[in-house]
Amino acid sequence: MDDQPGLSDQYRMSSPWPLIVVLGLLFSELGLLFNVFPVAVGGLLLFVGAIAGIVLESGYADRPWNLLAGLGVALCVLGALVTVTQLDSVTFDAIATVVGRPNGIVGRGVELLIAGIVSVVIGAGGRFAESESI
Amino acid sequence: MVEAQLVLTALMGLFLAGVAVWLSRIEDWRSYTPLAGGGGAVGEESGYAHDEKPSGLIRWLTTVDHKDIGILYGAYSIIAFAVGGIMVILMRTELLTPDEAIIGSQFYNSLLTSHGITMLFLFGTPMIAAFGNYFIPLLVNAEDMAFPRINAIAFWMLPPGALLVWAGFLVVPFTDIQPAQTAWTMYTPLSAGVGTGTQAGVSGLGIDFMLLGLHFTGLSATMGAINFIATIFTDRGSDVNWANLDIFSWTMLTQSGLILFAFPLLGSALIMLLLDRNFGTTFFLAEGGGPILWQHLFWFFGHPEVYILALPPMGLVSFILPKFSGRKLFGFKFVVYSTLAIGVLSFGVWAHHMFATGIDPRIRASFEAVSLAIAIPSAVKVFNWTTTLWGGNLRLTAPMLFCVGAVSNFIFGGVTGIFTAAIPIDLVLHDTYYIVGHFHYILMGLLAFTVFAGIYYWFPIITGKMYQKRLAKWHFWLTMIGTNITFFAMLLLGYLGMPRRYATYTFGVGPQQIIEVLHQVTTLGAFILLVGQIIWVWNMIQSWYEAPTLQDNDPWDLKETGQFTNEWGWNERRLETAITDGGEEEETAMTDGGDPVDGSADTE
Amino acid sequence: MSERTFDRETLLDLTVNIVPLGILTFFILVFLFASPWELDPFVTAISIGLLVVPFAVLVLVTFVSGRAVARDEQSATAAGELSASDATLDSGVEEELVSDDHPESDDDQSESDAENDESSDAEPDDAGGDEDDEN
Repeated sequence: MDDQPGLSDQYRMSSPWPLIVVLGLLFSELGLLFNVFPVAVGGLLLFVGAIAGIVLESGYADRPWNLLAGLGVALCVLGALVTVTQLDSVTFDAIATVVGRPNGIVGRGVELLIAGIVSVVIGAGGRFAESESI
Repeated sequence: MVEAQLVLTALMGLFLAGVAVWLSRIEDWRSYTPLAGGGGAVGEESGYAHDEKPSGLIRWLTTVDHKDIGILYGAYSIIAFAVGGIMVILMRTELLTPDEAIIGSQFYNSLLTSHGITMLFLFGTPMIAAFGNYFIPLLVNAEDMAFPRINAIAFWMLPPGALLVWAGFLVVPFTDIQPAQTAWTMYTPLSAGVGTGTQAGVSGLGIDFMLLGLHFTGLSATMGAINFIATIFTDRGSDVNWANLDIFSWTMLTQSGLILFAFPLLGSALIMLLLDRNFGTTFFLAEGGGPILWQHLFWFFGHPEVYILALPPMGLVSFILPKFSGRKLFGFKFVVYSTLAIGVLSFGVWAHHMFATGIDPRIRASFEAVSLAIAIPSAVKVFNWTTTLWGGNLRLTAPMLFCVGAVSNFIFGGVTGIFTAAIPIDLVLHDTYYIVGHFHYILMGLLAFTVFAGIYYWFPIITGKMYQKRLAKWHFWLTMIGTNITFFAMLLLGYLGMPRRYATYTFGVGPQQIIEVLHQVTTLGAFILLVGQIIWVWNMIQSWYEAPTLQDNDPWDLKETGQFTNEWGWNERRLETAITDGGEEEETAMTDGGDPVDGSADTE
Repeated sequence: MSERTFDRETLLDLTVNIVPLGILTFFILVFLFASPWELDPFVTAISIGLLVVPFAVLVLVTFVSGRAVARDEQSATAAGELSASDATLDSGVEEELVSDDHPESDDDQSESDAENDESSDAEPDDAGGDEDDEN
C-alpha cells in the first residue's frame, strides 16, 4: 500500500523529544520576547538540541553534531544581523554601549549569538570527541 | 536585578540538566547506534514497536501513537471547554443586573477576551483535531498519522499556549499585570498598547503573554493540518480511494487546507503586533500601516477560521446522521463538492466583518456577493441532511439527537448569517448581540453539538464501554433547550440594539426593561447549559470508570444497514485479537481505561 | 481513457458548485454593467478581482477533485468492486464494508492499488497548485 516504506512506518510508539522541542521553543520565545538572557539562551540551546535529537531519533541523520553546529551557525548569523543593524559603527565601544542598554534589540541579538556559538562549540566538540573515540 | 539574573541562570541551568537526566533515564542512548547505522536496523525496530510504550505518566508525556494523542487532545480540549464555560458563567451572572454589581467591568472584559480565545483556539480547533487524530488513520486504514512525532509536537504546543493565554489571570493577584482586555479580535490600536490604559506598559504584559500563547496554538494547528493532509494523501490503505473516502476525512482534508493558508497568516500578524508592542515598529499604528490593516489580516485568517471550526462538525453530522437513519447519506458527492466550495469561498468573504469600517463601497459590495454565494453550499448540506432523515428508519440515540439538534441549530445560525451578509442589514446589526447570537448558534449549536455527537458515537471505541443513556438524554435536552433560550434571546437583544461586549447596560433611553428581562433569560439559558454539561462530564467519567466492558463489537447495529465503517472494523479486529491473545489482557486494559495516567484501551 | 473526463453522473454531482459560480457570475456582470458607482480602474479591478479569483479557484478545485473522484471510481468499477450507479449515488460505504476484511490479503485489489498510487502521487501537486492561487 505504500511504495516507499518511509521512516514513519517504522517508529516507536513513544519519543521524549516532542515535549522537549516544545519546551525549547517556549523558553526561547519567552526569553527573546521579554529579553530574559538566561531563559533565551537556555531555551535556544534546548530547542536546537532537541531538533538535532529528534532528527537523529527518527533516522533522518546518522549523527546529531553537524545539524547542531549548522543550527548554531544559523543562530549566529541571525544574531549578528540583529545586532549589527542596531550599531552606528562596528567598534567595541559601540557594542559595549549598546549591549548595556536595557530592553534593546541588541540584547536579543546577543542572546541569539551566544546560543549559536555554544551550539557550534558543542556540535564541533561532539564531532571531534566522537571521531577520537571511534 | 543582577541577583535575579543569576538566580534565573542557575534555575535554567538546573532545568537543562534535569532535561538531560530525564532523557538519559528514558532513552538508552546507545540504542540509537544501530538505528543510525543504516536502513537495515529500522525494520528490526518495528518488531517490538507495540511493546515499546512506557508505563504511567511517562507514557502520556512521550507517546507518539495517534490514538493516545487523540485522547490527550480530547482531554485537553474538554478542560479548556470547562474553563471557557466557567468564564462565561461569571460574565452571564454579572449581566443579571444592568449595573456593575458582581464582577468589575475590567474583569468582565478580561473574561470576555479569554472566553472567546479559549473556546475558539483552545477548545474548538483542538477538539476537532482530537477526532481527527484518533479516527482519520482508522478511517483511511493508515498505520498512524504520517508524521507521528510532529503530531506529538503539535499537541504539546497546546498546554503552554493555554497557560500563556490564561497567564494574565494567573498572575493578576500577585503583580500589576492585567489579563488581556482586547476582545478575541485584538483590534488595534487598543491591542498595540497605544495610550495609557491597562493595555499598555507593564499591565499590558498580559497581552504579550496571550499573543505568544496564540502563536503557539497557531503553530500547533498548522503542524496538525500538515499531518492530516499528508496522512490522507499518502497513507491511505489500498482499499480507500478518492471515490470512497468517507465524508469526515473529506471535511478534515478541506479544513486542513484552510488551516494551512489561514493560520500562518495569523502567526505572522501576531508577530507584527508583538513587534509593534515591544520593538517600536508601526505596522498597525495610524502613522504606519494603520489599524485597518490589522482587521484585514486578522479577518483574512478569521473568516476561514469560522469554517475551520464548522466544516469538520458538518462532516461529523454527515457521517453520523445516516448511521441512525438506516440509510446512506443522500447526495454524498454534493456534500463533498460543497465542502470544497465552502473551503475555497471562505477566503473571499473576510471583509464582511468590516462592513462598518468605512472601506470603499465597491469593494464592500464584492464581499457581500461572495458572502451570499457561500450560503449555497452550506444550505446544500442542510437539504442533504434533511433528505437523509426523510423516510429513514430513525433511531433517536444520543449521537443522533445531537446531530438532529445540530442541524436545527445550524439552520438558525446559518439564516441569521445570510441576513447579516447584506450590507444594509449588517450596518444596523453590526456589533450588537444579534451577531453574538448568530455565531453562538454555529459554535455552540453546531460545533459543540457535533462534538458531543461524536463523543457519544465513538465512546465505545475509545473506552470499550457504553455511556449511560438516561444521563445522555438529559444532557441533550438541557443543552438543546439551554442553547436555544440563551442564543435566541441574544438575537432579540440584538434587534433591540443592545451592543455586545459591555459589562453593564444602564442606558438612559430605550426599552431598558425588556433588555433587562432578555438578559436575565439569556443568563437562565446559560445556567441550564451549565447543568447539562455537568451531567455530561459526570456521565463520561463515571461510565469510563464503572461501566461494564462492552461485549458487542457493533453497538449501533451498523451491520444491519451496511454502514459498518473502517473504524468499527478496526475496533472489532482489536477486540478479537485481544480475546485470542487471552481475554484477561483485554479486561485489565479496559478496566484501566478510565485512568488518564494508566492509559486507555491500548490493546492492539 | 479516451472518453471524456466526466460522465453524466459526475457532471450532475458537480452542478452543486455551479450555483455559487452562477451567483458570482451574476454579480460580476452587475458590477461591470449596472454599477451605480463610477468605474475607477484600481478599485474596480480589485472589486472584480475579489469575485474572479474565488470563481477561478473554485472552478479549478471542483475540476481537480471531480477528476480525482471520477478516476478512482472508474478504477474501482473496473476492479468489480461496485457498480457505477452506487458509486455516484452514495458514499461507497459498501466498499468500506468490503474493506473491513483484511485488505492486505485481498489479491483482487492489486489492480486498483496501482491506480491509487498513481492518483495519490498526482494529487498533491494539483492541490498545491490551486491553493496557491488563493493567496
